[in-house]
Amino acid sequence: MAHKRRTIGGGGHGDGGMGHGDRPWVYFMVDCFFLITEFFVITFKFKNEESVLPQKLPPGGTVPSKNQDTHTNKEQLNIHVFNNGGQAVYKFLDSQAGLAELQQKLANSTTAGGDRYSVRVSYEPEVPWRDVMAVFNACTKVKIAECGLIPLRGDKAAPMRQ
Amino acid sequence: MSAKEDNTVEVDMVPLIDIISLLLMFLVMVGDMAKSTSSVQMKLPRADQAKNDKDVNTKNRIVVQLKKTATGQYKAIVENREYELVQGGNNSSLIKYLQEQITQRTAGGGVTLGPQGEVPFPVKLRIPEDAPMREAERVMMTLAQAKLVNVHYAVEAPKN
Repeated sequence: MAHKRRTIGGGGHGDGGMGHGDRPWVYFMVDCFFLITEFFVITFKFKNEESVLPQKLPPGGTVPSKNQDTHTNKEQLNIHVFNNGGQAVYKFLDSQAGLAELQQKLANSTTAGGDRYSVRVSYEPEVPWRDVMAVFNACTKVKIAECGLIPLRGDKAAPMRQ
Repeated sequence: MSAKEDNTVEVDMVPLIDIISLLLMFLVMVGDMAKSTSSVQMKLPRADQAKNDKDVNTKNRIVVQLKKTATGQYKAIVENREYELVQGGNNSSLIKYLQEQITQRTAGGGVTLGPQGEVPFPVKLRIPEDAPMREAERVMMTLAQAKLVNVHYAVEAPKN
């Protein structure tokens, strides 16, 4: 650090040997400036625009309460997600399918228009989020805007209160 | 006086202290104000139907992140603050925070609620792709309890 810096051979501006005359503190200013610059350079990051999948939770849906009004004029489709040997399996319309098949079945079932349907997804507690997300993605593909969850019940459920 | 004494430099510490204080103040203030919306590093699930953030309505949007702590518990992170997913803990709970936010934002009027009291503000949800549904469910149930139905799931768009 610049505690005692001197120009060799005397100052250039008649300052009696100092580069900045009687103002040696400018060296500290320069040091601080470099520190600030280093800080910004090190912490600089390009702004990463994240993508999002917009969806709607069904009105009154997802909340595990019998008092909630869950009636809508939309036809409800239920999909159950579980794992079989590390692979996600989707149970839909009484048959089990992989993701590609589920997408195909959803497309076939919603030919009248996705806005007429509402989807509820149930799952096993250890199913990873990405497998349920895949259902939301498949619903968006067939223009179903309302996707909610059927919460876990009993021992499987995570408590909402301590 | 000797030649050695002639070369002694008197260092004025006052401006140095001033500058360092200003620098510290700046960093402290900026650090506190920076409400990073993606402060939790995580691997997001992929979705080919993803939209760019610019193409969706982000007005009044609340960003909720799910983070696994060192103890294995999951906590919600909103504006760099940690919230409990369950009610009744020592820390402030997510539902309490969301309800406060809704009250504040609707206090000025001009906000139209849905027929069942749905709040129109969108919520961006950042959940790691490997988070078990037992934990992810709690965040979504909390949103539903607060009647926040417009959800923007943070995803990774497929590479072109």
